[in-house]
Amino acid sequence: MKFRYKVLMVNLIALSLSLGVVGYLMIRRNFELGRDTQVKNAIMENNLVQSSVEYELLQLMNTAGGRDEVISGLKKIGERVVGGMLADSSSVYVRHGDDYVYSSDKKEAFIDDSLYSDLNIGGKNYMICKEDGQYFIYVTSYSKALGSNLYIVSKQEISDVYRMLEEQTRYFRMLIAGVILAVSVIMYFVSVYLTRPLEKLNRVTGEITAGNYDVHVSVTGGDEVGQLAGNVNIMADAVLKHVEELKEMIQSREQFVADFTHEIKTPMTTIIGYSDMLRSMELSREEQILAANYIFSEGKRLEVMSGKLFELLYLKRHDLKMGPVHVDDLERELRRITEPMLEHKRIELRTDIEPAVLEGDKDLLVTVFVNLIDNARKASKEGSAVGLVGRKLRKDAYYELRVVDRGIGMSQEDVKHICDEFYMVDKSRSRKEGGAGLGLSLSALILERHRAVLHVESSLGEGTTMRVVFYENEKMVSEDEEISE
Amino acid sequence: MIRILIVEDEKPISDLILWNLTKAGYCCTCAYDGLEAADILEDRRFDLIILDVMLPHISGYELMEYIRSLEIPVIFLTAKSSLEDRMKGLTSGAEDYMVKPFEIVELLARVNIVLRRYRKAERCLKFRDIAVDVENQRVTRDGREIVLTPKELELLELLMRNRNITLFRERIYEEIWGAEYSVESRTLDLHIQRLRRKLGLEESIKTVFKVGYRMEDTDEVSV
Repeated sequence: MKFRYKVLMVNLIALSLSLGVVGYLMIRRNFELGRDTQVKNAIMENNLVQSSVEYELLQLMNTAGGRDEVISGLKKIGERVVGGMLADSSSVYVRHGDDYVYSSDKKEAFIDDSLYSDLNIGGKNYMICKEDGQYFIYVTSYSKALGSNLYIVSKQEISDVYRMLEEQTRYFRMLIAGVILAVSVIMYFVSVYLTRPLEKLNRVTGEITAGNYDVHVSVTGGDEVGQLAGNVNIMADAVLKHVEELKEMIQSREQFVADFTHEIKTPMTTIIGYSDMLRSMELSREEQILAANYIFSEGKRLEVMSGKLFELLYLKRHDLKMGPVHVDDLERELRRITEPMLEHKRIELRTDIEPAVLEGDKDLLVTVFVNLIDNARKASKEGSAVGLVGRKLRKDAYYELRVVDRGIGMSQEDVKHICDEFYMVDKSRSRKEGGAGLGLSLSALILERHRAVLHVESSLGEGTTMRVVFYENEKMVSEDEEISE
Repeated sequence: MIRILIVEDEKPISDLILWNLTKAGYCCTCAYDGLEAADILEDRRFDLIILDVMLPHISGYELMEYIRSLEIPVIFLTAKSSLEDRMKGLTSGAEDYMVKPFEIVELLARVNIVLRRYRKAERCLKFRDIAVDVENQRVTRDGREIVLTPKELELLELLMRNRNITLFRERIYEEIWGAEYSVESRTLDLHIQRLRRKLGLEESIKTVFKVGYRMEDTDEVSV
């Protein structure tokens, strides 16, 4: 059953129950009050009749002689008293002993025996009877006269009170029917109004289930439904964001696998091709050496690639050993490692370091800067210099390390892609140097884990500056995470 | 002489193709990126282009647009082996499509097939006193016609086209019978024996122990 119908039903049941009870009690009370008044009136009338009859009877007893005379006189007294004061609808019966000595309506009235039982002298009994669709009240008073019981019974019609009860009940029923009808209509519209946002929510969650995450509920208001709508919107946004992140992740994975397969195909082709030549052709000694050398160098390249790949995967999965790293120590270590390979091209490493303590994994930071310096070396001409500059910074970025070269530089297109896996600015040269196209993506990943960002500034023929900026807290990194050009 | 342009940015692979095609008797020129290839194509005519898809500056597909107007057959060379890439390669107008890594025999066979399709391949193969008329499927020795079965003829052609190259059993089965090589099968040995006897090639078709056969042309100077 729909929620709106439930609301409607519950309200209607509660309303009709309460209205019914209240109405019933009101009518009942009203009726009782009316009936009590009637009973009082009847008793008063009976009192009047009784006192008149008793008064006349006393006088008669004083004047008359015998008992029979008094009893026959009693009938006359009845007529006189009753004739003077009775209303049309009322009757009076006088009973002396077991005989009815007087009946005002000349009828043998049906009088229940209970009217006469348990009566004391001066006491009254009354009862209400229904005769021929009319209601009558009988009031009995009791006294002793001439050695016998004297009962004076007055009868009065009180149908009005009952008619009124019926009238009120009927009126009330009509009233309650009308009210419930009216309230149902109003409640229906109210519940429709109240549940409309729920229906909207329902539709939206249905769409989300069906896979359409880019939806919003246009429900406002501070009530629970409004809050729920707000939360559903937040949820939809979050789901959308996550799904998009997942999609991006899958895409980058696929791209990575595609790049990897492509990258591995080149050494494979070379190795298979030259070994095929070696096994199936008569080659001269020189040709054999040439072919074997290609196989050897491409095999080496595969080895470098697998090593870097392993590092990349390892880094993505594992935590770093973070600790304080003195920039001076870092500089010494870098000098020690890079000097032999720089010497090869007679390149000088010029350092200008402001002392500071970085937070990070020293070995990995060394890997990053060896990589950057090696890149600078590859780009530089023989006999030139590579700079390593360290500067303290203010605000959120607290330190900056620059690797500067005056080498061949890169185009803006290359700068955009240099952190992509397997991207090489100059393939043939990079291959010759034993590159796998993974160095910078590895470095970028390490730096990301250090809350540091790599900025690359380069122009063709003028050289390249690689700026590594260390940030205090994570938030700034993500906001600032773009490679400036 | 048939001229082939090799467009491939990976030096080792470019060298490999150059080396083998030169040995097979073609005249080759190398270009290491799309722009260089376009420049070379402006000046000179070629009979065939071997084109790598992934090239710096201009991709193979882009270069293909330019080549199409020249009506030169193209064999695509690519590291991508998915069906989509094959379709893209072939629908872009390439004659054939070769996936890295490839074997030398496969390269030579494909080059030959494409050239034959363009009627640029040699109509007649010659080896000493033997001449094979490829189009008419006729073999003559010293002017006298020799009757060969179709399989024998195919095998002879394969050996003659790949002279001085050891043809491995697997490769021969794949090329001639199109089937997987099985160790027990003596079919190949039987065919080789009959070829030797019919054409007097006992000396020229060498058995490479346990591996395969090689047709040796001692007069030819290795490149």
